[in-house]
Amino acid sequence: MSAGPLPVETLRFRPEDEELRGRIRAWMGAHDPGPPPQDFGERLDALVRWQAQLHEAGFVGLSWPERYGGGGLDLRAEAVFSEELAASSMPELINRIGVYMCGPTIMDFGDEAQAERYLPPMLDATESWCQGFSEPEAGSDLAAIRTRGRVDGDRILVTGQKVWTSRAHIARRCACLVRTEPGSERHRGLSLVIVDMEDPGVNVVALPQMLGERHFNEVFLDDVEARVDDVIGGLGNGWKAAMQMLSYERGLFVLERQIRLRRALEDLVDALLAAGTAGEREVRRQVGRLHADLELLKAQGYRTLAAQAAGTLPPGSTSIDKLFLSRVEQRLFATALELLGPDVALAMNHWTHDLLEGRSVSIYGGSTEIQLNIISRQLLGLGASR
Amino acid sequence: MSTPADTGAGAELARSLDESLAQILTTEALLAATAEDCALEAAALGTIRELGIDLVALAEDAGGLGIGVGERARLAAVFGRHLVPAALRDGAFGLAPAVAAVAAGGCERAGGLLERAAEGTLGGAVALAGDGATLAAAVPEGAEVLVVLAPAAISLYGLGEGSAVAVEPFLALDSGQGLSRVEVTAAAPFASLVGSKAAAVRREYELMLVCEAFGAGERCLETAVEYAGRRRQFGQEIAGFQAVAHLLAGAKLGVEIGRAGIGRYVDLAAEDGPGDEALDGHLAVLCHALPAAAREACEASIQVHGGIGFSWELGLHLFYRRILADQYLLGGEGRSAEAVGAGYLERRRS
Ligand SMILES: Cc1cc2nc3c(=O)[nH]c(=O)nc-3n(C[C@H](O)[C@H](O)[C@H](O)COP(=O)(O)OP(=O)(O)OC[C@H]3O[C@@H](n4cnc5c(N)ncnc54)[C@H](O)[C@@H]3O)c2cc1C
Repeated sequence: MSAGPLPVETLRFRPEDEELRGRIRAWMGAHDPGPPPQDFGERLDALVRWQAQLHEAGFVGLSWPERYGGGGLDLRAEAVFSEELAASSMPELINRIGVYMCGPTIMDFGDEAQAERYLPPMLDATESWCQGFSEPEAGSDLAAIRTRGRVDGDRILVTGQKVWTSRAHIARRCACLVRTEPGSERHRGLSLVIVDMEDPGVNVVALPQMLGERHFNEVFLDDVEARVDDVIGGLGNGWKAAMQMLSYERGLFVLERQIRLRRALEDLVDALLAAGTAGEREVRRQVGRLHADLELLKAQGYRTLAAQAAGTLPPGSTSIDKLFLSRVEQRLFATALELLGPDVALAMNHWTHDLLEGRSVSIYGGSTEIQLNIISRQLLGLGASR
Repeated sequence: MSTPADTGAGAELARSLDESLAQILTTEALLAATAEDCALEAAALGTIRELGIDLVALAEDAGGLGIGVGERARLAAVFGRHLVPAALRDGAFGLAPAVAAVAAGGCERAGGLLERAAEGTLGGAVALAGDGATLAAAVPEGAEVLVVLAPAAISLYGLGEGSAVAVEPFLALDSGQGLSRVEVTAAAPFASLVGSKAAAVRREYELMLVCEAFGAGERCLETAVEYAGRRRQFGQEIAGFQAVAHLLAGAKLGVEIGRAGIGRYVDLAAEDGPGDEALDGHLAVLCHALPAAAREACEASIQVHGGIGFSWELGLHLFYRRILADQYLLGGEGRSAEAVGAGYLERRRS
């Protein structure tokens, strides 16, 4: 192992990117719908409408080719949009799994027919997506997938069970990792199949998370009919496609999350300024540590996007983004409770909510331990650890 | 601030320096200097200066190489990998550019010093002005000038006979560097410069300390990775133990985040828009986080080496000493965090 590259490139915005930023900002100023409703169903509708509106304005999928409904620009534009969206009252794309993970994977590994059929409705949220990877016996050890896909002519009949499937209850499509080669083991014989969630064989059962919210689900699949034409990357190539999708989950996804954490820090600082504690040394130190974390998380996000745009992203490198995100997010909310004190910490409010929610970051998309394994093996070249 | 585009000359220099320094700055030589708390042999120091290091932070019109900030960062990391003596580091990244900035302001005496700096024959010391009156600087034998870098001011003082600057060498953790306490309260600078050009010199000097620490930390990590793949216990390579691998992966995280941070600084410096405030803000983040990450990498390396890691002969302590020195020259973990926090709170308030 020798010294790594220095300096590395990060994302640099050009005048046209700043011009785009101005346009998005102006549009947001005129169209920001205000905070979403509390009621779950209404909230969902509002978020779907919001994404449709954003798409109509031409802002969703800015880096996607125009023929799929995108903006024909690059990842800089995508980053600009994420940053500006984060400043709105509804800083979230309801179909972020589709737009940031499934869509790019289809563009990388799918064929033209799949792209034409599936990409446009991702952008305006008429078709939401979910990611059907984890199973009861295949969590960190994803290669232990048991869900079967029986190939029958041009059909694939999918039977098995997925778990922890985020937003399956609102999704129209699922990128589902299944074993299509009978008797195959581990990474071989897997395929990434697009499943229609409206198929009668699909049964989605709510699995409330720690806060009682309906975030993820169990998905039972019983002879669900999919098409061989809908295998992303072709039969037997599922592992590669799935890994790519996970890499996206650890890339642009992380940048988006980072931007929301910046807002949380702003809120925290505003509260401290209002409480008159901002002059205390300990407060300044803690705020300084958090701000430094966020600046570096952003630098790393920009670095990853620059490498992605140049096609030079080293395998395994987005584990750095994901791992650091977990640390930063958990530290941010833990520090917030410390600084805001028992009055805030004893109550149920957005601070305590986000503290609890923060426990998920070191589990989803590959746990902290798995990211450390990836860094050990792929970035440091250390042998054995799985 | 605009920066000359990286020409590639710096990259070439970094490669050749890396090779040459490995030959000159051997562990034995560094250990001897540290044990005896004396500078490296004059011959070795001379050889290093002959490599042209005094020119790296000078613009072309000042007789230097005119390389960009990114390449200078890389060179500073190479300095850190090889533990280039602090006085040489300061000469290249503090003294020479400070003298050049003052000379460009029209000071004749500084102009003369600049010529000698470019020839590699000027000896001097650099101190960062902090809260107190007493400053710390690596003062080499025969130093003639002391550069004091305040946030937006450079002051040059004469050293040696007749100088009112008090220089008191102390037993330093990073020994062999000539670290001394200096007091300038009774002395008057013979030249000074105030304003954004002075601020830029200080900024870059701090960045180079950060990059030095980064380079030292990265080297410690490399050493540990190599060792973990070689050392066997319980019938297997210790790299196969997850506790060992994860310790190193954690250190790698800090190194890579640091690399991104430096990359972002270089990109910010190349942009026309953001101005000095953005650079200052990001630099404060780097001063806080990168020495800390380097320290973590070094501590992990010591741990993974076991007993030999704690030994004198392996010399990991040399890196540890230097990284700690960089961290505390920049204020330490807590103070540097405070600086970041104060800046952020101030911006948010207004
Ligand atoms: C909020 C949330 C949303 C999610 N959304 C989705 C989704 O949309 N789609 C989807 O497919 N999945 C989703 N997941 C599932 C997620 O990917 C898994 O939970 C994760 O991969 C861990 O698997 P597991 O839960 O089976 O835990 P396990 O794999 O059983 O892990 C248990 C513990 O053992 C540790 N461990 C396991 N193997 C090793 C090892 N080799 N070395 C060291 N430690 C190890 C883990 O780090 C963990 O601490 C989601 C999870 C969460 C929390």
